[in-house]
Amino acid sequence: MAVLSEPIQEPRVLENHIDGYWEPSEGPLRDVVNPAKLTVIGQVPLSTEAELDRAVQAAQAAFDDWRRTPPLARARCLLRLRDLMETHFEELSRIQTQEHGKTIDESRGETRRGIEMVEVAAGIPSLMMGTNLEDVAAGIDEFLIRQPLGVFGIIGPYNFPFMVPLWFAPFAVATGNCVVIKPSSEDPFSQVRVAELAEEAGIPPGVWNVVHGGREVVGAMLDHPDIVGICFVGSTPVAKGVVYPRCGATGKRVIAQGGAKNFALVMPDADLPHTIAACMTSFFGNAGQRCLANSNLVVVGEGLSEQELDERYQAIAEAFVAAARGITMGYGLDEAVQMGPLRDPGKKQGVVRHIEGALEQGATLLLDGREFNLLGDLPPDAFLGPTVLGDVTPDMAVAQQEVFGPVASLMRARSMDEAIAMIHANPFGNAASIFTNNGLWARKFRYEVRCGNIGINIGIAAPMAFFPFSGMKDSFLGVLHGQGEDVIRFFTESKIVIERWF
Amino acid sequence: MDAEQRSPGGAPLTASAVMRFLAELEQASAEWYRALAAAFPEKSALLQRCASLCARNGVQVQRTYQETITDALETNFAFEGLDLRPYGELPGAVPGTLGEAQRAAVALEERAAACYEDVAGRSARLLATIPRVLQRAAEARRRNASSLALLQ
Repeated sequence: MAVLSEPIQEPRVLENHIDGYWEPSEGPLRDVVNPAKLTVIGQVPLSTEAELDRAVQAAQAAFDDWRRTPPLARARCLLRLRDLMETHFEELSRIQTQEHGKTIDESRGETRRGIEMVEVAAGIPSLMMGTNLEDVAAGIDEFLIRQPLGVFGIIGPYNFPFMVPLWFAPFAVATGNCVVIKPSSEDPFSQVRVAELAEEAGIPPGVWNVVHGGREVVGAMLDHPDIVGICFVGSTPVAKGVVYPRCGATGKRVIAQGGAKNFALVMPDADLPHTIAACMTSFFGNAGQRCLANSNLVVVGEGLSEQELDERYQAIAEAFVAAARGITMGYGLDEAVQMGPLRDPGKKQGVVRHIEGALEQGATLLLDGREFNLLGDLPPDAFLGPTVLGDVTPDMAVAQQEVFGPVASLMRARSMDEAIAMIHANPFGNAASIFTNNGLWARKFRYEVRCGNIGINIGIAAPMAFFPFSGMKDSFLGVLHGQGEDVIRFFTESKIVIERWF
Repeated sequence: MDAEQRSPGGAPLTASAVMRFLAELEQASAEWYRALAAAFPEKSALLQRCASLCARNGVQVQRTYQETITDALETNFAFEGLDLRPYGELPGAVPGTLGEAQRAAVALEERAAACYEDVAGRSARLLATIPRVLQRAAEARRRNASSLALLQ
């Protein structure tokens, strides 16, 4: 089986992209490590507040011209960016695998999702249209106009280094705003390449800026008086405890997407082969580092006796473990590999602590991912195999907290109401799935469950670019979501004009 | 062609591995037909048409894969039980006579069509777009096989 070539051949020091120029930072450098091989592929600067400020000032200076650029001309820039992304599709995908560790199929999927954002944003001449009504009173007409606001900050997570900033940036730029993107310092290469392509596509200097960094840059973005809004995707403690309140304090618009703990209900009539297949990618895709990943599988015994529920649970557990055991692990550029490492050894240790805690609290170990085989001669430090925990109860920490790793918790519920109550008792509300052939159960689930993204016989309920990426409870802080119509409204002010002529 | 064409431990082949196999199959087939066209100029038009069709198949399959890979991942795209080894053999040197060329070409087309049908069948469970395109590729290969009757 082929191992694909790596696009990043020589380690290099990354630079900030400010006002159309690539500039070295004066801040300290941090290694960027390929987690599968533990090799250093580059260094990223932890930029200074002054550098962030220069990027914001450049964006602010570019805003006036850019907002006056006709939407069709802005759309053409995005269409050129889209074409360049298609041309460099494979390179962009392999960069993600090299810097993050995900498999090449997963990276190509991420590239596609990112491109779809640019494609949808390129429809801005239609998407941004306002509304009007004549004769709201005799001879008086009223108009709603959508206008851009200025400079937005975009703070990306490590789990989708290419796609997530593109949930926002193309829409922000399409609506006439300027952006400063801070990629994750763990895997910043993807956004560097995107910015290079944005520049090549003709997006003017100052409109699309990239400033690398850590907490200091994030803090500076949150406090900066010339940044009018923040788009953040990361953990709930940061979203809820830092980003949301500080945006409130400084009067910024905010989209703060946090963590998740997603449940999958398997009803008694669910088609088992389809369900198990869908669960494999949902629970273990991207090594479980996905906010839409399911992590609690609830076998629901609606209408079943205790014994029937127990038999159903055993059958599902056996099928689940058998499928998970067959997942091949290794370097994502090896085409035989189905699951890559976690982003770094420290994250693996965090997930292992969750597993150990679950076992201490009484869960049973159906499949131990701490013991694994790797394809190829690789350091095992960041790898963790699929882990399946049985007899998990809702009170266990592993059932309540975000694990963000390849760990599945199998649970039981005697009824659908009991299962939905489990979901509602959890502080998160990002996504939930149900597997069933019963329309009434499916409707009840869709109607009642307080989660932003619902999957019906779908393991990963990932909204397309033209729908909002929803989220509720501790998974989302804000009002308007990323993507779709929501994000157009987020990036524009609704101005009302009431007009009368004498 | 590269690729062991089967995953270690019998695990399902990844989409990446299968699509690359198909792309290589089409590329090698197209090159072989061009070599045949050069060797048998009196049948060049037909053989060049076969070469073009293989090339177009390759582009179409690759494009479809890249454009639907997100759906594929999210519904667990897997080719369980797929073994590509029977389909990996390609005709070697250009045969000396048109009769030999025809037999080799028809065998290639039938093998390729069977490969597409096998892959399509194993991916049909959860996804519509990719198997549909693979079936079209199989039909194209079968049409090639029919038109190759005109070689003699």
